[in-house]
Amino acid sequence: MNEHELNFRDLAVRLPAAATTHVPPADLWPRIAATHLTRRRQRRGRRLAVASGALALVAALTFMASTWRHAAAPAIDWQARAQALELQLDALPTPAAKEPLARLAESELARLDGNLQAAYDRGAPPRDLDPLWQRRSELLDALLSVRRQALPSRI
Amino acid sequence: MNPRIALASILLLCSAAACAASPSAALGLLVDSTSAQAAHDGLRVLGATPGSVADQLGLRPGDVLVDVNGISLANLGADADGRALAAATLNSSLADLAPVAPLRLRVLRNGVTLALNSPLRAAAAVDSVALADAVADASATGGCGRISTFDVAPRNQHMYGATILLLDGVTPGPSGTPSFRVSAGTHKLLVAENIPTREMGVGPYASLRSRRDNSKELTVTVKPNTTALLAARLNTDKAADFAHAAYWDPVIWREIEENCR
Repeated sequence: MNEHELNFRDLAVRLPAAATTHVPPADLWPRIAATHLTRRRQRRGRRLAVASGALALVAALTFMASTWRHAAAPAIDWQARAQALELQLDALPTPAAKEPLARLAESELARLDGNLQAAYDRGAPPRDLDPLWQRRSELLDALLSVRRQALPSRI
Repeated sequence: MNPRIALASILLLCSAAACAASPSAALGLLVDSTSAQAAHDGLRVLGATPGSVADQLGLRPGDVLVDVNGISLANLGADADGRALAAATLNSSLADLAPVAPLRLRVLRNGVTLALNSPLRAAAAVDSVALADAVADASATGGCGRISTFDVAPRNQHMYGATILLLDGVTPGPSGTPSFRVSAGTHKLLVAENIPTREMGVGPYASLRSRRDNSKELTVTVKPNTTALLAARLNTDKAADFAHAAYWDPVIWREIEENCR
């Protein structure tokens, strides 16, 4: 018989006596359960906070990146574009007969150019001139497309 | 049309109708009148309206207008408002022209001085009055017309571009074309607006969020050999009413006779 076996037997004899003398409080288990639940909630809350923070950080970075990109993106020089389109238009052969749509575009261009000249004459700031130049570009684009469609096919 | 006659008729038309545009603008000439500094060597030409007298005379963006009928436009300084005095001088010179007086311009282009006083190329003048009478080929085949989203709608009437999403229930094609040939008669369109956000008076995000699925239906009756021009009209009094899409309406703003080839 070894020493371990002796100790276990001894323990088995003593345990019932110890159990009767050291009865745990009745609310021990509910307290353990409550503490456990609180800790689980705290862990879940921390995880949620970290995830929310990360999400907010990603959203903020995305917004800032788009803002920077927007700020860094070169603004379209509508005036230069309109002038380039005008030179392209001038390079096209003059049509023998004007398409009705071309007449419409020219009529609207004439009205717009009147407004644009009036804006220059009163010293309008660039923010007022830009939309007019943009519209001039659009109209010249439209006129170019009509003139090109009216060109006789080379085939 | 001879530019001289065209100029005379434009100036006469302007004086009769109390035309608000300056004489240079009536000529189809767009110049930088902002400051004396910009007009130091003469008036810088910013553009010439296609089909206008200025266009027929051969004026181009980048030209510098040195004199008009012998009156120098260089080194004139600024007026009381700080604007280029050369612009006022040009306008008064044009306004003082007799109806059949010659118009002689001296222009600096790429360092070379050009005299522009005769038509450099033949072209018909802009004649917006004649637009309503645009004549189509009477012998064209009947039974068809066009619906067009060609965006030349007048912005001063709050007309903007529009896109046809569905034409009689199907996606119109070919894509990228502004005009769609249809049979003469009634057609149902589903239309989306392309009104720029800046015209709305609201922020871009509010506009983006609220303008989704604000397409509208429009029934159009297309006449034979006629092109119906479609636009999105901004209802300025309801410009922020996105909830009921009351801020816009699809409209046929013009019908032009055009051969339905």
